[in-house]
Amino acid sequence: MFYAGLALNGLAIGCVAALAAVGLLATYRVTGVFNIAFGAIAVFSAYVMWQCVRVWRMPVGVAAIVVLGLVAPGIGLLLERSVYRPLRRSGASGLLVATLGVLVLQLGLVFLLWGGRSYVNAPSLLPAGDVLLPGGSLRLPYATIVELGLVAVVAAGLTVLLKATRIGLMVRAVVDDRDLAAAASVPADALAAGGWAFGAFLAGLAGVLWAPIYHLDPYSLTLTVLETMGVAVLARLTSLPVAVGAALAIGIAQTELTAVHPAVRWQGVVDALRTNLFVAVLFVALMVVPRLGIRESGAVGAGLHRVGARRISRSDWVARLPLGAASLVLGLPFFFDPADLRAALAVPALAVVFVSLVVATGYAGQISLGQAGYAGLGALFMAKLAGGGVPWLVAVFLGPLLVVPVGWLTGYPAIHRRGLYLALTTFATAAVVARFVFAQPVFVGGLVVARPPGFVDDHWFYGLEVACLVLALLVVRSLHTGPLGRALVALRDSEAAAVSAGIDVRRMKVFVFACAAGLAGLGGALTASAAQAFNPTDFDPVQGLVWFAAVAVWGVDSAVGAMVGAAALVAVDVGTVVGVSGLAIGVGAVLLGRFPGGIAGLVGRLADRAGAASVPSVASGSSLSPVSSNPDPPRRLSPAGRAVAARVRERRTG
Amino acid sequence: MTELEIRGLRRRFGGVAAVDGVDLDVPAGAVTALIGPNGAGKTTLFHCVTGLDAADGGTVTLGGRRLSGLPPHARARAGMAWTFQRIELFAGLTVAENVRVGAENRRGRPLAAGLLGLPDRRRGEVRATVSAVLDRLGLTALADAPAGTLPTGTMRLVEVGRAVAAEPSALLLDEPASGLDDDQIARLVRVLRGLAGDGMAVLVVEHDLRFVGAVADSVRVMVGGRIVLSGRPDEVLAAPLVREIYAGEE
Repeated sequence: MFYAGLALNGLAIGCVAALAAVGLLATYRVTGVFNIAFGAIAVFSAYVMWQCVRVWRMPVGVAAIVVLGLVAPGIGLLLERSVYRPLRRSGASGLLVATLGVLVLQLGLVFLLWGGRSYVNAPSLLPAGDVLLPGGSLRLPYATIVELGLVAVVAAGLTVLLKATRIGLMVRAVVDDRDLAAAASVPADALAAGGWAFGAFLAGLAGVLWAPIYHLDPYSLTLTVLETMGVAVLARLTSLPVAVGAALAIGIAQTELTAVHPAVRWQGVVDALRTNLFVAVLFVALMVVPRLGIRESGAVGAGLHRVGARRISRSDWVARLPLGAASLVLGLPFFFDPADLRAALAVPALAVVFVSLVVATGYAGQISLGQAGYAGLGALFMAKLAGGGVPWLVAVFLGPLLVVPVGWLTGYPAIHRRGLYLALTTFATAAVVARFVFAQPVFVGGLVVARPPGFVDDHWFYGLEVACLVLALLVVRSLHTGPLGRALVALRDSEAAAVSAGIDVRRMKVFVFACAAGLAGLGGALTASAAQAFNPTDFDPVQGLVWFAAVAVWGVDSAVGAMVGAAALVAVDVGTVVGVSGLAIGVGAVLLGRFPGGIAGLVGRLADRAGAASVPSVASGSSLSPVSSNPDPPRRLSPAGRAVAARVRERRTG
Repeated sequence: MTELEIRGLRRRFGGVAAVDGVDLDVPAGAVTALIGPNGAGKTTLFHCVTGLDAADGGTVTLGGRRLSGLPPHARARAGMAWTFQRIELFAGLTVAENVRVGAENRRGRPLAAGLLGLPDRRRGEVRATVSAVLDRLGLTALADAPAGTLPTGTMRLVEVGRAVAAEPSALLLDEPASGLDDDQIARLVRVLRGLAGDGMAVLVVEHDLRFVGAVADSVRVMVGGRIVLSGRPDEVLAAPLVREIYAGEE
């Protein structure tokens, strides 16, 4: 009877998780987009609900109609029209960054409007009280009954709609190929808009139902909703019944674990597992499920990079401009007043983390949403080593070196995963590290990070940080030049062609993850040293998503863009109200599909024009069409265009 | 002398034998063409030989070395190079860099050496190879052009250049004439004949019979997963079976 009682409690948790997972899957089934921003829409809706009821004193029912009938679907319609419709032909990476942008934007709004404050008095939609079950000893809350009913209605209704109705057939056609469906007179835009409105409604419903159970907190509630992705992964993003069954089973298992009492030294592990079972399932599911029921289209980095981004045929002064700008940005803080300099200490550390993302995603095309985890581990290892008597200058490099094997190990899943699947796997890694390491007092309790003797002063320490950044950039340079650099870009642009050229792509992928993990670890170690403390919230997995979006906006294949981006992020955070940086990054990320390569890409295009105007020709000695024989090369054309034009002229004259 | 030797290669998809016990010799110093109707199993055979797909049985031997079971990159390093039916290029690299990737990865180099920025001792040799390949394919003028912005036919030539730059002993090309104009086809024929003249074993999977007639020393016809006809180009292309398969294309 005791275990049955626990199971009923677990059923309540499982119901809410099932609702979120069904919402996630339903959104995917009716839009074709795996909406990572689902959690953020849920959180935003929950905050609006709180505002309506607690501040504007609306009755809960009216507030629910406003939030679930207007706000949430309105968000869905807005997103479809302004973000996803323009990106409908974008690759998986472009859509992924857009959803991340929406997530960051919504979190930014929450911070801007509510200051990111946590509330424990979120209004509840569900009735209080419970019903006595036959047998007389067990009680089932009304809330659980309503939630079960909602899950059943949504799952069954959606299954019937998609499989047995004409509208469902049209929805599936739109998801499969929107343009083709439109060509067959299917109202594709209207159906897609409806799908997004419905998906956002489900997100809002999940948020409104979860907020009273958990704290209404932007980061933790978003992460909690994101963690239910494990259920969706178990269902391979296709099977609603499997998702519901898995969610209920995990919820029940979570509460049953409270009855497990192993030897004292293992109790901590069991407790950690109990409170984080959904994260563990997410991680394990992503490791064991061979593939998801999704289509991955385009190259790995499609939509993130600008074609020809690695060209080197620019005149020197143009090529040096961005580096000069970055040097200026990093040099300015030496002249700051003490308060501003203290804030600027975060810049080089964050810049190192950002360039680690450039290495993994920009150069090698391996989407990594887990850099926050590696950064935190670097900080943790460094703090432990320094606390154990290892000199700071040794610990700050040895700590990140210890992260390299972790990156190597966690890079193995990347061998067979791409796009969204890889993104989820790396995010799960960060979530597991955050929940099972950073959140455990046994690992992080009482950590103090002292700066090295002679560098306690902020000016000196900032100089030391910049020196570490320069060392990191030397590594980055090795990864972007020479045979290794070309091999990484080859891996990014076409795995099949890279293999045909003799590149061991499996080893290369693991190697890149290891390098990026080490670099992120160095950034984390510097972050902790600058703050003189290990703060787990600095390495929150959701923070890692913000970082990824920021790097994408500044140019995912630009180390200089990453450095300037880190400085800009810190400056905006310090110089404006909280939430503005999130808004700016979010807007930039959702617009990224319209300017591939981000801000660095835009600058690069301008530099290319300037370079083309100052460089008369780029090649000579061709047996086909010697450019040098052309007295007046058309300057508006690209090098390829000039050569083709020269060839045409040659034919006409010859 | 046979450079690439395929014996009893088999690949099944469910109940369908896509490649059904194929024996094929690709001699050094000659161009061998493989033709056949859609669904004959040509590309599946191609993938099984390169290691992109795992064969269910049979052996692939290159220059006396057995390659069966090796991953594709190891086959490439063993001296096999290939291009794809759908163009696969490194769009973020220039034309010269694309070719260079082919030249500099045929021998493995420790990743740590690259990370530490140690100079590549073969750099001069690689540069000479790249220059020669670009010249041979008429791509020198486009050396610094981003590969992703080129016309389809030129991309196809760059892809061939990348494969050739590895200086393989066997070169496999899957529909290399697709998307090429007449001038480019003529150039490709000259290039492939030249490579064969240098002693390379060249295997071409192709639909364009004019191209096959111009480039091949011998032709194999594949139907239903088996080689059903072999011979000189003039004999095979005039055979009733081939005329039936390609009716209307000539």
